[in-house]
Amino acid sequence: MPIERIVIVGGGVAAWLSALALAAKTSCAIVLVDTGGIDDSLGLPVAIEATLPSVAELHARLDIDEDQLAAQTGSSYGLGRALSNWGESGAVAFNPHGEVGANLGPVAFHHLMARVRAEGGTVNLANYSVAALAAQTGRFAPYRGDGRSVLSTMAHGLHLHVDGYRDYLQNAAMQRGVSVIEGVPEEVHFKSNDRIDCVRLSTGHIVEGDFFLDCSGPARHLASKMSGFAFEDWSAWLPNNDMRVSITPSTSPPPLYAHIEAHDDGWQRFLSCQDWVEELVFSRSAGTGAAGTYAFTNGRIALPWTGNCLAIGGAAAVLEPVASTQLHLVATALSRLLDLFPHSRESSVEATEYNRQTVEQLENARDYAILHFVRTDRSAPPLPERLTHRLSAYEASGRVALYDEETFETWDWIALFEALDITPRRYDVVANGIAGEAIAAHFERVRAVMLKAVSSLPPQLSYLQSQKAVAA
Amino acid sequence: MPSRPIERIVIVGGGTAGWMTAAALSHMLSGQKYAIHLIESEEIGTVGVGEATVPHIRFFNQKLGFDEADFMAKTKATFKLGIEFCNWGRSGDSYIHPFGAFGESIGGVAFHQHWARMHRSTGGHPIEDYSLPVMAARAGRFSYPADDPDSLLSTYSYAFQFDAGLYAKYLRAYAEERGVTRHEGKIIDVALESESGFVQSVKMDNGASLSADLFVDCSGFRGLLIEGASQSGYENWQHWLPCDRAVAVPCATAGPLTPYTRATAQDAGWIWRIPLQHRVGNGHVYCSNYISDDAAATTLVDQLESAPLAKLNQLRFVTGKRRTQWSKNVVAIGLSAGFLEPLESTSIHLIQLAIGRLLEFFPDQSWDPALASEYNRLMDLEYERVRDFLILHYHATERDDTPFWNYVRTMPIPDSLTHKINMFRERGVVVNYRDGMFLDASWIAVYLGQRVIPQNNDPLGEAIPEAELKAQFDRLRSDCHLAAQGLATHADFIRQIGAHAH
Ligand SMILES: Cc1cc2nc3c(=O)[nH]c(=O)nc-3n(C[C@H](O)[C@H](O)[C@H](O)COP(=O)(O)OP(=O)(O)OC[C@H]3O[C@@H](n4cnc5c(N)ncnc54)[C@H](O)[C@@H]3O)c2cc1C
Repeated sequence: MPIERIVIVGGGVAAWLSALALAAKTSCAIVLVDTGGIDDSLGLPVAIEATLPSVAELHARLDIDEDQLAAQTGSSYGLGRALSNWGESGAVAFNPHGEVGANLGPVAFHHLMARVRAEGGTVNLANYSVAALAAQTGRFAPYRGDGRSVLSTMAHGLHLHVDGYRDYLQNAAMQRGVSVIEGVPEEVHFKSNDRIDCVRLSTGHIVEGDFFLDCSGPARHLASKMSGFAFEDWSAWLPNNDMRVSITPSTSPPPLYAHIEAHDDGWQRFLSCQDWVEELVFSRSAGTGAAGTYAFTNGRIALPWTGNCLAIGGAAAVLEPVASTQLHLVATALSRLLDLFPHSRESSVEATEYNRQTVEQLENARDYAILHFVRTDRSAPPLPERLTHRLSAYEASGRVALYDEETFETWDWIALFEALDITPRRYDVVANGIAGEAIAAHFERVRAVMLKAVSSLPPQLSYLQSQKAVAA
Repeated sequence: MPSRPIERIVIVGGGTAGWMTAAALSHMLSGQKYAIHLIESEEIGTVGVGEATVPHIRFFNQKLGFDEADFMAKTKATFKLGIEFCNWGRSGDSYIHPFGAFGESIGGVAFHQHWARMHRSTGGHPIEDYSLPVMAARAGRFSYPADDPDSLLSTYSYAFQFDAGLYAKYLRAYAEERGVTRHEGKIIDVALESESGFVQSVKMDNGASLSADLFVDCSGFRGLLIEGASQSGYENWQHWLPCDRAVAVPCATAGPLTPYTRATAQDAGWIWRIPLQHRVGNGHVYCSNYISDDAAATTLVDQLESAPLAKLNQLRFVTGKRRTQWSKNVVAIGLSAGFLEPLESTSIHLIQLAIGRLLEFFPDQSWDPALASEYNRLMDLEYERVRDFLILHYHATERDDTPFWNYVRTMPIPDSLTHKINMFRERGVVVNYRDGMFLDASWIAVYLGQRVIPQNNDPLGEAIPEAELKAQFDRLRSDCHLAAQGLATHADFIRQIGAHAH
């Protein structure tokens, strides 16, 4: 029997994005149970969500025009992160989206950087990244041409205004026939060991389905009822458990980057969208529960998909957004679900593969988050084995060890290593065959080409305005 | 660089692995102060049977700046569009694993998913009808792929079949021109540093001794340094890949020049047929538990298309991999690093990969252990993933006509492969990983060719009506057919580009 009825629990962004994706790509009847309350469906309830460039893939698959989305929801664009105080030097480092520099013959740019430094020179990678240069000057328009322009090395995400985004998704999903019931699941009835039959809500309503998505964030209304449920706590490596949020109106142009600053006890993020600035403060506390604070625990559930219940978003994993992974994890989970949509109600092969990929992905993303704190948190326990290997391989060779299901690719890792003042002890030997002057000339040429390209971009606000005009 | 660089490199062995390493290092490290030496022994000789390649070889040749037509003429090379597998799924079956994908995704759902759906509902045509390289191979035709990504003619890649002895010669001339010093002689002793166990020097039968900082062990199966001196240990994979011998012999070409390699399953192994410009390379890979050497030789000779051109060449091997391919100051490349049978022509590619990685992790005198450890992790993954792909060919079969096939069909296989086969059989999903040379298209070709057919539809594909699919399929099928017929014959094309041996 094919799956015909899907029930989605949770009323937040994760739930509505799931509803839209499934309504657009399957022919199932979809009911969304809106559980109300704050939207912590992604894990942590923020007002502005910084997305990674990869989120665009799901948006494209769902025919969402990101420019229209940004214009209509009060969102803006993001080109990376400025990090202060994370390394020993205390300098500000920029982690851009997209590629950095350009190879010279067979030698990768980061090896050229290391060679320049070995000879006493200084190099800041942000000077050789289109995204970083554009972010500094406040200029931006998405590049849609072919690979010939240096602008194609720039990638961008969004600074999504979460309320606007949720409304947008809700509208689109309802237009595609998704129906909504309000209420909170009180009882979960099973057909068999791991197959949910129906859910009884606080309102007394009974909602039946063939397949259930738990998008209820850390409440895990369904996932926590599944047999074998277990939560793997990551606090030993990621001890922050308290988030303070303040959001204020703003009339100045929104910066094209998130600013994250390390503190002795946690970290802080400033992020803007069209009319707002949000400040988040993350710390370890005894959990004061004071007004304006949100308590959380970093970690994941053992199996995101068991039986006919799949947990997506904060219900599957909570990872503080130091590397802006929240929406990415939801978007890739949905793409994966679409690729592995069960061929029948009873099938379980898809879940096995889904869990394999998802757990790999979550642990790799977690390790990237943990890496931020290796310099500042000296009391931390031994790092996960894979992260230890990544660190030692990079320090020894300048090459980034990558695994299956990565969220972050070579340059993301290098840029973070740089921000932490972690540098390799050696570089590609082939670089020694290139004359120093040739490398210097190459660096100058790359920078000149990039600066010229960036100067051709409009200020971000002009671009946003032009898109609003299109939307109107 | 903070630490003292390496100055002297000794490559032990002058087979394909040794000369590829010498050529690549001499080119990539040119202009730097490296002294590169290579030792080979005529008395011992080379394996010399590795003649079929995969498309990656072109990047190796390009990096070194080879002129393709010149290289082909000097190595008597032919073009290769894929491998034909005969009698593998069932006796009488034939499928080609091409260097290219079948069709294109439709409505966001992969082509093979739609194909499987049509196959279940109406039977339809074999998947190979939707592959230009397969159609071209079957027609004996070849031309370079087009650059325009929208053209059907851009949907494939190609590799070569060449004379391994001539390739080694070609590489040798190149390497010697770039300063590599060749030494003829048989190594009779290896001196180790007593404390560290690092190899210090090797001594030859003529009394000469060569020392070096880095030793690349390309000594073939015996693994003179990696095993003989460093005792790295060998991971035996014979329980999964039980073939352990081969007998090889060339013969003259009878009939038109085919642009592909053939692997024909036998009662206890398989026979390769590799067409070169001047001859055909043939060999029988078999498992000595199930067939005698004499019977294996007779089987081979009986199937030759013309009289043998040389004496039979007998080879023995153990499938598996050295436990650590880089140990201390010895890096094993080629047959010394491991052996996976040539069913998918992977050995030369693994050599190429190892050379690239050695350059990426090139050590200095501090001998940072993290370099070898990451190198070994990456090479292990490659070997394991090729291994799984090879096992698939044997295990996914319906053959039950001989004890050999009964063994491989029912043997326990690695869990990772069981999961992969299940995912494909039940739902048409190709499970794949970041590292590993075979992409989705290769897995699909072999699954379907070995009769692992998805049993259920991709539910997302059902949105497209069958009639619409059928129309698209018919169009693609006739396009592939027409395009293949439009290409030159293989022999003509080689002549046209001036790649024929003079
Ligand atoms: C049956 C069979 C078929 C194959 N088919 C293919 C194929 O189609 N495609 C493919 O890619 N690969 C194939 N291969 C693998 C391919 O042949 C090898 O990977 C390739 O030839 C490299 O071999 P090598 O250089 O490592 O070893 P060898 O060719 O064995 O070379 C070893 C070298 O070391 C030297 N040496 C050894 N001991 C000493 C000593 N004591 N002193 C001095 N020198 C010494 C020898 O003289 C020789 O020069 C096949 C292999 C086999 C067995």
